[in-house]
Amino acid sequence: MNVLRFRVMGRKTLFSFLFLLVLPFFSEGKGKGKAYFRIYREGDKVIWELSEALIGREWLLVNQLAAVGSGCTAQAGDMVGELQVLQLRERENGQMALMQKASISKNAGSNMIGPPKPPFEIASFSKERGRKGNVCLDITSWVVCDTGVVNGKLQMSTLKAISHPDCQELVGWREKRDGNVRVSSCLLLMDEELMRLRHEDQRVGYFRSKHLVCGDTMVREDDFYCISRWRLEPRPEDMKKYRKGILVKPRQPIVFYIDPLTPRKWIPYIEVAINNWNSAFEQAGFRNAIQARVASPADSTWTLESCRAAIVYRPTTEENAFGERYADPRSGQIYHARIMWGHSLVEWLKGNYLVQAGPSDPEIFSKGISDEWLGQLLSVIISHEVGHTLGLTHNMGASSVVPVEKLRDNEWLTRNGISTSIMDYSRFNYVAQPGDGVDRLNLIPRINLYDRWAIEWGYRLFPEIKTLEEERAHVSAWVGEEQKKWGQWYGAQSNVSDPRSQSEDVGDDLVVANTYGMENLKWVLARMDQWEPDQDGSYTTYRGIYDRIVSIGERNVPLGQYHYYMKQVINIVGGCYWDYDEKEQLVKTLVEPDYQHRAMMFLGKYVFTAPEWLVSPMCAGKIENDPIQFMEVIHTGALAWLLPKAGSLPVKDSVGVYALNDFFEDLHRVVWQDVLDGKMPGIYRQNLQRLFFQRVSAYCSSTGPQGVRLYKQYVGDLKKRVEQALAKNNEEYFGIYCRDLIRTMNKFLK
Amino acid sequence: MYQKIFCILLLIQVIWSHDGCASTFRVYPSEGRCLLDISRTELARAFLVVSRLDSVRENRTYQPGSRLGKEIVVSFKQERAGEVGVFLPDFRIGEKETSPEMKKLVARNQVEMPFMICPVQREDQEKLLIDITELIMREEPLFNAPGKRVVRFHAEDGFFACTVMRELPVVRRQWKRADDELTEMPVTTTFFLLPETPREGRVRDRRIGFSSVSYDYFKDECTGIRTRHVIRRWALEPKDVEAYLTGKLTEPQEPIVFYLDPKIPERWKPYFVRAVEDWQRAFEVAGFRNAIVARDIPEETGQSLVSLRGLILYQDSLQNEEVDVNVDPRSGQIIQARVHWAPGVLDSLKYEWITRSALWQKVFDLKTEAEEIEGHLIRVTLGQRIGQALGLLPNKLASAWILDKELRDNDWLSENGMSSSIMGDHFVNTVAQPEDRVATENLFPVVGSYDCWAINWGYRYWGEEGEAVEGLQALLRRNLNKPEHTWYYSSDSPTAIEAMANLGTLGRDPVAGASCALANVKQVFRRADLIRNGRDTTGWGIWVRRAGGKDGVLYSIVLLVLQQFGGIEICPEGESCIAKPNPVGREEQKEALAFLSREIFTTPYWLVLSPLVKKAGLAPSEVIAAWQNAVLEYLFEKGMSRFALNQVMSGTTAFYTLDEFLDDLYRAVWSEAGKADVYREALQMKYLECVEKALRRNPGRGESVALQVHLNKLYVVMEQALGMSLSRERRKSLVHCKNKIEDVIKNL
Repeated sequence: MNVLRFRVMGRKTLFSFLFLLVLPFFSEGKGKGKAYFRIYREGDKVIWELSEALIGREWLLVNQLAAVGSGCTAQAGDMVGELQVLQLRERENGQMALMQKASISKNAGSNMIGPPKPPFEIASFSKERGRKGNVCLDITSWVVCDTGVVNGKLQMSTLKAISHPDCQELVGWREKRDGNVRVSSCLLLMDEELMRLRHEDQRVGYFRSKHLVCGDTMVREDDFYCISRWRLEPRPEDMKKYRKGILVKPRQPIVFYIDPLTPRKWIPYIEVAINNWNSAFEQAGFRNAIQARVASPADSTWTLESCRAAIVYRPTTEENAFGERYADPRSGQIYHARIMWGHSLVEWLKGNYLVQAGPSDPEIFSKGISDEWLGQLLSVIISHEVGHTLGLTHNMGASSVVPVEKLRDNEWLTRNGISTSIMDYSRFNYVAQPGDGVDRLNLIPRINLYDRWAIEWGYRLFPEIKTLEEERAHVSAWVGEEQKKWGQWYGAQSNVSDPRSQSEDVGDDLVVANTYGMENLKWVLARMDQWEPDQDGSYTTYRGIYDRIVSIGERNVPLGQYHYYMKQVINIVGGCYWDYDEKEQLVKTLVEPDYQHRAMMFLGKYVFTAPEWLVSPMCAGKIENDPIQFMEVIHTGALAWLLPKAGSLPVKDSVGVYALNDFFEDLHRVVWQDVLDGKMPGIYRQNLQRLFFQRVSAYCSSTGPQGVRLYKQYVGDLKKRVEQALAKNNEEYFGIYCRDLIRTMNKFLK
Repeated sequence: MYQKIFCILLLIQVIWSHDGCASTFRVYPSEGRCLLDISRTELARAFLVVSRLDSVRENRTYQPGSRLGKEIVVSFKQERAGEVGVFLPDFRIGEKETSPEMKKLVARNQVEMPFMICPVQREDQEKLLIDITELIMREEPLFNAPGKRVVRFHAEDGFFACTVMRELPVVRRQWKRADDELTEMPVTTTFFLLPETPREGRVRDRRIGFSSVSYDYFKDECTGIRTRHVIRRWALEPKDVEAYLTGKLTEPQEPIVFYLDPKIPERWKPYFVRAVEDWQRAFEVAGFRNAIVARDIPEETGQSLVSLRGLILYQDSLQNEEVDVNVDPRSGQIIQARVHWAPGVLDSLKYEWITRSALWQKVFDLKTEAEEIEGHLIRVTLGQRIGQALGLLPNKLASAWILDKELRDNDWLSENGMSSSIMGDHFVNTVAQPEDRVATENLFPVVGSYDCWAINWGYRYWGEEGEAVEGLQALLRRNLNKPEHTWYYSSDSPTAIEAMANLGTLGRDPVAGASCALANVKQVFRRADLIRNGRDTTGWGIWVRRAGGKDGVLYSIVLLVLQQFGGIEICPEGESCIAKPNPVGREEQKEALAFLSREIFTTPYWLVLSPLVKKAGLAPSEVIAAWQNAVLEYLFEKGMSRFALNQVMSGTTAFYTLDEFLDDLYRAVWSEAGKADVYREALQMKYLECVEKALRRNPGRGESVALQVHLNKLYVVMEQALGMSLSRERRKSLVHCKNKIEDVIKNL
């Protein structure tokens, strides 16, 4: 009996014990109200129900355009305003105040308008009790009014509330000044604890934000920056493995959703573009850290707007793609990321690939670019944008470490790639020449050495290091070590005077690289000569490609690949290399004099000696422009860029320095040599020389007395030389031309 | 309660007093409200909205029938009971050419939203009665002026229209200003129901001059956005398709009808009718008989002209409006056209064109032909506008391919006409001379072979779409290599090559053409009878006074010759006959200079002796100086800068250099440095002034060097001449010139 009783008792006790054991799991989020929240419609009311425990926690509000009315200039996918960090606080009178604690801009807080504001109330609600002790707030007025949750008055009948696993979404049509838009407002619960920040380092390219400290009533900006990165942490049970260097899955991977409207054809390439970054995260210790997903068509509640990271396709004329990330300035944690790409990006890819890499892939002239290869090219662009959303900035210097002649060496390229980073604007290998036998894959960039290292640097965790300062010292020393290796150099886009950190370039010697580029452009133009006109009797297709070689933009600005080659070489002149030493101190070194001299000679050959090959399609009637005016625009652009370089050159001559005198001597050679040799210049050169004085005058009127003094010195010297040339050549035309020049110079020198 | 009563009364009124005839719509004006009865099948269809001024009182800046604001497309859709939304459908993306997959993708950025809601007064399963009063009275987006009161609201087959008094600025201008004085004017707005399925658009071809509309489309996932241009044309389909496709001339289902304004004087009506029906010839080439007709306005139309798709308006004056064509933006189908014509056009033609042609003799000596000539001029000017209303663009190369001797050969002209297009620049054959005895009708352009070809290409009906593409290609192959079918698209881009040496010329040789035109004008200047008793009652005095200036007949004639210097002309090239710019050759330019030397710089004594000049009370020197100055200014301001482009475009072929040109010009102006009359001396002083101006304007340019070399040469010649024995006056003049040159050189 006793045994029986015991057994009965034992069963009860066992059940009670088991019940108590599993109770916390069932009650999680509901019974105890830890993480339950929901927004729903109740007739004409909008109710925010949440568990008591969430009062005081922080919420992130993200407003985006989900669709736009026809005629509206905005586009679906655009963000509406900044992201807001909100907090519900209970007042003594029982009212709930909704406070805005901080705002998050797309550039990670570095361009926030004005100083940060201390927390302020944006709305207040009456608190009512809901089911299971939850709090219910009537937020209708905040949602509907045109200055509440988002600007623009809501058409209440169109409002839908959608529950997602980690956020609540309100979608409805709102009236805006330039048309109606469908706005999605997502509210998500932010992490309870701020992510540990990482100090920026000038030698690794990360987006950054000034560190923001935000209390209940105060806000301040520290004078250091933290990098923007996703919160990637091992699961607690994997921490030991992680410390040992074993690859682990992160607690929360970075999930990129691909817009379901994306043409099906491109989805596999976009998936590859995202998943390829896993190789970089593996170097940081994480497996499957980043994942590409496409929404299941069966899930009717799924929306693109509710995704924290998404790649939005825009069927527009945009020949562009861009990636944005929104990071909490208090920790650098990225909460939201978007990549937008325009439909016409495919046209950009086709045109620019043909112009830059066409000579190495001549099949495309006869067969066009296959869909497979176009997908591959698209994948490169998307990978680059994914890099931005992971926190990486452009590394414009990545391609500058590649020896230019190696860009023609297929084996070397297979091993090393055309650039050490996909975050450079090294679009295609324009150096490889016809017959070099460079494979297609070696004509495009890929996720490479620097990218893997940069991700490792930004995302590797150091749980054994306790303080921020110690961690800072550790990662800084680590950068110092890595910088000694080939391929890890980072050249910021902002290093404007460093010729290595330029966009649209490849190779460590731009004079040589762009000489190859120019020869390739000639090759392409000659090949295009064989193209038939379009069926409608126009040269529209021809023009589409020609414009990518060279064209004139608004306000007579020269555009196209030719222009890039020219401008990149101009930037060598007067340039200096920007490097950071082990203490992160900037060290500037002047560009080698021979490199600068060769740059000037390049300009003499490909720009100032009129590139008649560029205007031959105009003479043939394929391009409607006037060749003389066209050449003037090219020369004006070149001079406008080149002449101010005088101001950044050292005045005094010394060994190993390209000084002002060297520049002036080279300027004589490339612009005036014919006249100084006693030869009458041709039409284009006469126009160039006339434009020279116009541009000098324009520069002098926009610069200080220093610039005027420099060019007075130059023109004075030029005048003497022209007079000498005149004394040697008595020919009437030449004499008049020189005297005209001297008169112009005299006017300038007055 | 009152509202209910009002609604009941309104419905009673609707039932008893509707203005709808046997039409798609019925409309009901009631108590200042505009109610539209529309069937559910027409909801969501597109309407083309066009607003025109009805009448104007004592206002010279507006003209009746002229359009106000842009043409806009609207549609009505019911999304909820009791409401109809008014939408502005966006046709910037071509539906048909966009692939079905891409259409789905585009949708997110093009959600159609109503710009306003109209209340529904009554609805059943078939129809809705909508109150569109607010739509009509509000300013935006359909109108650029608010409505004050409704004057008329009516509907006919395929459209409804309302006439509303709107507040407009007293003085018409492009942009309204806040302080504009306002006045009320009646504006009629027509809502044309567009076809449910847009007509098949014909894709523009750069070798045939049609105006066009454009839209973008997404071909597929691998191709960026493309723009399609489709030509503007009327919907013309054969009544008997089978017969048409076997090549038989067939009447169209609906002809293009141009109604004639009742204000057109009776004596001119036949010419108006002919101007329209001349185009039948072109449509016959396209396989249609009686495709275009002119008719009097039917009496039942009453006051309303809005129902007329084609209308010729006779007006006192034209306010920069000649032709207004309204089209379906999806297909280019012309829905309505208004052609404006004012008799003032004849006056300018009479003076400017008759005097350049052999018509002067017919007008002045054989006065019986005056009305016939007037009729021809009406036919040509109106015919051109009808051409525009059919979708055609001007053709500046229409007569540039004809030999000059052919333009003087009556038989040749009878067969081929003086131009391959009535859409050309020339209203009259100015090459033929009185002694050529060219019949009057051969002196005017008619609907020609180019027009027939263009209409055939634009309007031919092909049945299935696939056949259209093949058929059009075959048609192009057969027709493009004919010189008379050449058409040139001239870009309006400021950076485009200025190719104009043969645009607007009559005959292949512009110099010969100008010589002939000048020969005709000389005859007119010999006439003393145009101005009687010293009183200019006919306008000839003004004509003479203006003759030499930049807007006068003499300058206009030589302008085409001046454009040869350093010029670029257009020549179709290759199998595809694409227009290519070619530099004018060296010999042609030398010939042009010889013409200037002969006719202008060698004192035109026929002007000195002209009785007409004398009767106009002018000193011959005034006319001569004006003419010579205008020519010199052109040469030094515009002509010289073009030599560089001519040289660049010539490449390796021999070209006429600026130095050669200046040498030849020197010979033309200064050849007898030792002896010259007063006219010559004035010319030479003007010459030096022009050189000085050109040097000041363009210091350092290529032409500046050539000009200075030229001045040096001239200086040497002056010195040599001064060493010879000269009259006192001539020496004085030469010394003056020499000093001037010294000044110019010194002041450089």
